[in-house]
Amino acid sequence: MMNTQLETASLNYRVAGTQILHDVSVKFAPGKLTAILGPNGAGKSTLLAALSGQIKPSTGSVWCNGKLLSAYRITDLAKFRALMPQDNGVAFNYKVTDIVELGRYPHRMRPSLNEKNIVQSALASVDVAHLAEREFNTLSGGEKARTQLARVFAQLWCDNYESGKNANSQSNNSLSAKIPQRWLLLDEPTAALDLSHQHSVMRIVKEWAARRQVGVIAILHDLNLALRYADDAVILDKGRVVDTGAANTVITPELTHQIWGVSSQRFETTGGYHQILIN
Amino acid sequence: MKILAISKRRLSRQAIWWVGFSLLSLTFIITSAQGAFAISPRQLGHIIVAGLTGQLDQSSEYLVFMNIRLPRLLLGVIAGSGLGMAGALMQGMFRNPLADPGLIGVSSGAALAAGMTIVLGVVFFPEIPRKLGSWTLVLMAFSGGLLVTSLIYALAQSSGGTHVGIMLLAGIAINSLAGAGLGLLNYIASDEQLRSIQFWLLGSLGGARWSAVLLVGTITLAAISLSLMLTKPLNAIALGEAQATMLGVNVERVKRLCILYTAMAVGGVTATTGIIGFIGLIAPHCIRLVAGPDHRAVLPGSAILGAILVLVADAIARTAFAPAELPLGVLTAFIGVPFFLLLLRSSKVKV
Repeated sequence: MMNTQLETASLNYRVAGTQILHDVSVKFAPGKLTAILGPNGAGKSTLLAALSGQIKPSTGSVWCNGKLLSAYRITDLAKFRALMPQDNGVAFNYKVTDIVELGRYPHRMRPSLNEKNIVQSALASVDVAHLAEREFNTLSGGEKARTQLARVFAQLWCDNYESGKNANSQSNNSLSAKIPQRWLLLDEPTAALDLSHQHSVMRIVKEWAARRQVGVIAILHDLNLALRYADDAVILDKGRVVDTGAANTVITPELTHQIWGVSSQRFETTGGYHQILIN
Repeated sequence: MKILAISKRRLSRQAIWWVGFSLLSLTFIITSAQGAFAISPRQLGHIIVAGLTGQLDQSSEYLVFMNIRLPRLLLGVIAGSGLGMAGALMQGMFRNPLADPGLIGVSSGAALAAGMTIVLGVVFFPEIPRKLGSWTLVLMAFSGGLLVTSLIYALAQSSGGTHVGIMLLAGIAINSLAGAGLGLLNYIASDEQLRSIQFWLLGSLGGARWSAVLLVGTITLAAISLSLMLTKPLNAIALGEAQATMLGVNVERVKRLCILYTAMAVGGVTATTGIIGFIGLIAPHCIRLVAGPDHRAVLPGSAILGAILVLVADAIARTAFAPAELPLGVLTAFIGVPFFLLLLRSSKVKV
C-alpha cells in the first residue's frame, strides 16, 4: 500500500534571524478538508509554502506520498499538487479562459482524453462560466478568486475518475494505482468572496475532498466556515502547533479565548451545525 | 473607428503569422524600390529573374540592388525582428509592459564600448578602421553589450534566484553610468569622433554588407527560433513566478534564457546598426492590442511587426532628403510613437 499522506516532521523555518515555524509536525489526510487556523503572523502561509515546496525548511522535512517533497521534480509535483495563492494578480490582459487553461500546463505532454472539456467544466464548477471571455483584470475581487480556483481545479482535474460514468469501483482502483494522491492547497480561498460564494466555494472544495479523494488544506480566518466545512483543523500560534484534531472538537470557546483573546459561545443551528458567536 | 473594432476581437495565432508575413512581404517589395537610386517595379522584376536564373546582368540597377539595397533590406528585417522579439521577451519576463530590451544593459553596454573604440581606439590602435559597420566596432560593441548584461544579471542574483526587481533597478543604474561614460567620451572626443559617436547612437542600416548580414542574421534567427520555445512558460509566468513554479515551470531557467536570447539578438543587431530605439517597446504592445497577450502570438508577431517598422522607417530615412540620409533611430521614434499612441488611445485595454 502506497503512503498517501502529506506531513511535516520537526519542521523549523527561520529567515533573517526570526524563527517563523517551531518544530511543526503535522499530518494531513487525503480525502479530507483540513483547515489551518490561527491569528495573523502565526505562520500559516509559511506552513502552506513549505507544504507546497515554495520554501525549503531550515531544519526538518516535508514528506509527500511517502517521498521527501524536495526529492520530486517540480514538473512531477505540478501534476498532483496545486496552490491557490492569496495574491491573484496577473500581468497583461489575459482572458478568463486563458488563465484557467494555464492550469493544464503541467499536463501538456500527456493530455487527458477529455482535455477539451476540462476548462469549461472547471469554470462551471465555480460559477464563472459566463465570464469565460472576459479579461481577468477587469473582474471583481471575488470573480478573480473564483477564476484562480477554477485554474487550480483544472490543474488537478482527472476526468476518467470524475466524469461519473466511469466512476465505478474498478476504474477507481486501477486509477489510484496510476495517479498519485492529489493535494489542493488554498490560501484564504474565501477572503474576497460574498456570503453566498463563501459557502458555495467551501461546499465545492469539501466535495473535492470527499468525493474526489483529494487532500484539501485551506488557510481560513472564519471559524464558522471551518466548523461547518472542515473535517480537521490545525491551530497555529506564534509558529507552533497548538492543537490538531477534528474541527468540531478543536474549535471551542476555550480556543478562541486562548488564541485570539476573544470570549465566545458555541451554538447549534437548526440545521444541526455548530457555530461560534463572539460575546 | 476601425482600430477600435480590431482591438475588440482578437486575431488568432495563425492569423498573426499569415497577416504578418503578407504585410512583411508587401513592405519588403515596396521599400525595395525606394532609395536615392530609385528602381522601378519593372526593373525590379528583371533583377529578380536575373538573380534567380543566374544570368549575367551588369546594369547599374542590378548592381545597386544586389550589393547595396538587398543587404540593407535584409539587415532591416533582421534588426527589426530581433528588437521586436527581444522586447516581447523582456516584457514577458519582467511581467511589465514598460520593459524594453535596453533595460538589461545590452544597448548601453554596446554604445559605451563603441564610443570607447571610436575615441580611445585612436590612441592605442591608430590603424584599425572604426567606421560604422567595421568589424572592430561590431566586435567591441557586441562584447560590450554582453559584458554589461552579465554584470546586471550578476548584480540581480540573490538567495532566491534572479530578482527581477533588483535587475530592473540595477539596469537603470548601469544605463545611467554608461550614459555618463558616453558623456565623458563626448567631452574628450574630436569633432570627427563626436560625429561618429552621434551617428552610432542614432542608428543606421547604411553599413549593411553581405558578410555582416549573414553573421547577424544567423545569430538573430537562432535567438528568435529558440525563444519561440519559451512562449508557454512565459504565459505561466504572467501568473507570477511562484505560481509558474507551482505549474512546473523552471522559472530560473526561463529567465536566464530570456536574457541570453535578448543579449544575442539585441547585441548582434546593435553592434551592426547602432541603437534603434522604440521598436522593442512598441511592437509587443501593438501585437497585444490586436491579438491578446498570449506569447505564442506576441513573440512571433512582435518580430514580424518590428521588421515591418524598421523597413518603413529606413525607406523614409533614405528617401526623405535623398541623397542625404536621416538617422534611423530618429525615424523609428517619429513613426513608431504616434502609431503607438493612436493604438493606445483607441483601445480600452489597460496597460
